[in-house]
Amino acid sequence: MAILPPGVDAGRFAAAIRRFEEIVGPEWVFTSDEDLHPYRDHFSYLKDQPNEPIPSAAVGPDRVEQVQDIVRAANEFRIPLYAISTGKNFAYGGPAPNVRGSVTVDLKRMNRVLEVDDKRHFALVEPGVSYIDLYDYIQERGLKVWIDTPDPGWGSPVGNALDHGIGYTLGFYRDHFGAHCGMEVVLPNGELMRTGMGAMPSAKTWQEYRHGYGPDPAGLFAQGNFGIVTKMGFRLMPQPEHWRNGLITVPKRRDLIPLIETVNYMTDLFMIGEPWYGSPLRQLMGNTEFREAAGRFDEEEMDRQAAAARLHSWQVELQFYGSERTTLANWEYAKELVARAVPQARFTDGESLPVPLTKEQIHETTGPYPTNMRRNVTQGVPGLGIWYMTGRSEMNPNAWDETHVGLFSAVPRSGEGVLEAQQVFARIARDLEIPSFNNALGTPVNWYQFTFLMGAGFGIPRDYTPEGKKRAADILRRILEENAKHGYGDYRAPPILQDDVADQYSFNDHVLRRFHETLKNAIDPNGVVSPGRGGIWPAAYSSFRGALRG
Amino acid sequence: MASRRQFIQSGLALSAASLPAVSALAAQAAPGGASQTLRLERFVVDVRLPQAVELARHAAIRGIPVAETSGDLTEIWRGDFAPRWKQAPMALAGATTRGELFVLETLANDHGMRVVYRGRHDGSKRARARHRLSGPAEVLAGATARAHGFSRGFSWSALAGALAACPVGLTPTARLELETEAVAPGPAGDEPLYTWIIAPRAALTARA
Repeated sequence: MAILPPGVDAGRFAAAIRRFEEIVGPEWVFTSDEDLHPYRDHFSYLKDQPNEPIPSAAVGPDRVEQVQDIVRAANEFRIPLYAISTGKNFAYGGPAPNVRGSVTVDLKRMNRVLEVDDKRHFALVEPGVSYIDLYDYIQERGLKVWIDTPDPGWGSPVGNALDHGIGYTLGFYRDHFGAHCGMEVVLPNGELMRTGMGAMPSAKTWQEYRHGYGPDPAGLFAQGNFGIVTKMGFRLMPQPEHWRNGLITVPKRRDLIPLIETVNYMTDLFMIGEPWYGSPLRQLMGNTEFREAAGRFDEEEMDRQAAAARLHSWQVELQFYGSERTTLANWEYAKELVARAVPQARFTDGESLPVPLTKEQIHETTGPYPTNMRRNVTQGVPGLGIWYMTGRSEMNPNAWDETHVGLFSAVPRSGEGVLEAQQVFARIARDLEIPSFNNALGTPVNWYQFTFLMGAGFGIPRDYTPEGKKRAADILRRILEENAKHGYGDYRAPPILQDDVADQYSFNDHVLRRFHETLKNAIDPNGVVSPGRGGIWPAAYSSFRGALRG
Repeated sequence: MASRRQFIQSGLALSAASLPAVSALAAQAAPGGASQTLRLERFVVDVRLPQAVELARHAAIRGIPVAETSGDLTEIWRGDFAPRWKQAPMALAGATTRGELFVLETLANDHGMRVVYRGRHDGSKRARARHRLSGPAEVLAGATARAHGFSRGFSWSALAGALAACPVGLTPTARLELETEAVAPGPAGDEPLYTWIIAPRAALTARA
């Protein structure tokens, strides 16, 4: 199926392809359906629909000069580009572009680890390096730094950070864009720019002082389309001497409020790694009486049934990094703090392991309480385990079939905020007549140190006809709208929902988006770099806004 | 690291019968096989699925090394496939969930390989089983012909034989939908079983 870039005839496209072949070599320009198959979003509700965002071609540069030439050629031929790193980003659009017919700039071949310093604790990498690659590089050399990996770890630190991806160790490092330090960018006119200290040619501190001098434009390149990032520095966590975890439970529903307040205190003292909240009461959801009480948010009845089942209502798992003594002292202090706030709290010592971990310790599965696949990522060890959730398992008895969309909204970081969000999500599900999992037991993720994100876990009807897919997309948009009414903003979205998410950030007649688009038009007058990404549409492609809505 | 395009290129070279490409082909062909078949270097089985285990048993009888998983492919990938695929792509088959196939297909795409045969087998809550197969016509024809020899109309043994006989090279592809009586063992739940073959691009273009 031949797809052309919008507004480009076959002759001009053929000429552009020839130019791309001159730049990177003909073997690295892909145009056949088979070669372009991996550049589609296989989780998309638009799969096989007439408006599915499929690229017209893909081009694989090996070095930054080639990226510059590709961008210059795109300007000459008015070809929209879409840059990817390793192109994973599944559930958030995968490698698919915002504009059907874009040429994908696949940066996988730029896969060099340029530097890892385990005395000053940073790395400088190209976009094609994966977390697994970086982990292997460090392990093979015995360097004393940890990576902070998302799950799965097959994605790119550059690509993940540029989509505001997250990890699971200490708060600073979990925010992957926040932990970056210096980047190199090919601008839409083909010029090469470096941010921070990289702007000073003689500086030896590119990965140590992020701000450089003057306004720092680095944020424009995350969830944006102001250039193609070709190098990125990251701060790395020094390898701790010891890793420890522990589990805390509290008995009553309203105990969530002091629990979160106390854990926030520990988090903001930089005392703990990622807190992981949950509810032991999930095991009662198979019980009709309890499920009905939870559906009514009948807190008194839920507490009564929890007590009868000898279960606590909430739990949080904490991670500690340091020496054996300091991790123990922090765990003891954590217990003391929580016991002060919730005297009936219970505490379970977790694992206590010296670092570096042995292979046996990494694969150990007999800890005092189940941690599922999270355990390894809190230890900076990348894997593919999260895909376990996409198949049938005890975690996911309703197996994933064809589609999967990540929707996580920022909610207030308080117990009251969480309890309110649960009710909001329940109302949305009821109004849309879709199932919502564990409404009254939903807990936040604290991936970002100072932010709670909540994904309520909605079940979308399994109807893979075009009409069914459209209904599913409509449901997702309704969820976004309803969330926004309560001030819950999505942190990340696939191209099919990016315009909808951007629409919700509408303060003062969308001044933020207008600001972005004013900048975009100034530095990318032909609009060739990833038009539409992040809901930012250059004038040349403004008619495409909302085109993926179906 | 080996790249997808490098293997595409080696596949093109193979059709011109260059020496390195011929030796790549030889590595993929069954030893001593007059008709060249893919040499399946692994059979990936999700041990949670009884039908998959049964199919793997028949694959093992045919000499294909079995790699077990129960959902998390990290160990297989990190400990076995990744180091091998950095050197050269390889042909492998499997019986897994859709999620596991998705992970392996995605990784395979990055290493010059692609899915050449795919089968979906639904069976739960039905009196009859449904098999939807797509891939080389020879594989489908083999599975169908063999299936006719069984009173139930389908067997995992027959399918294992057809997979083991998957030819090298681009062959006409076909689709087949087959509804049969329930096949023993049946599925443990309502999740469909996926059977598949992933092969290097070079091997696919060998006979083109």
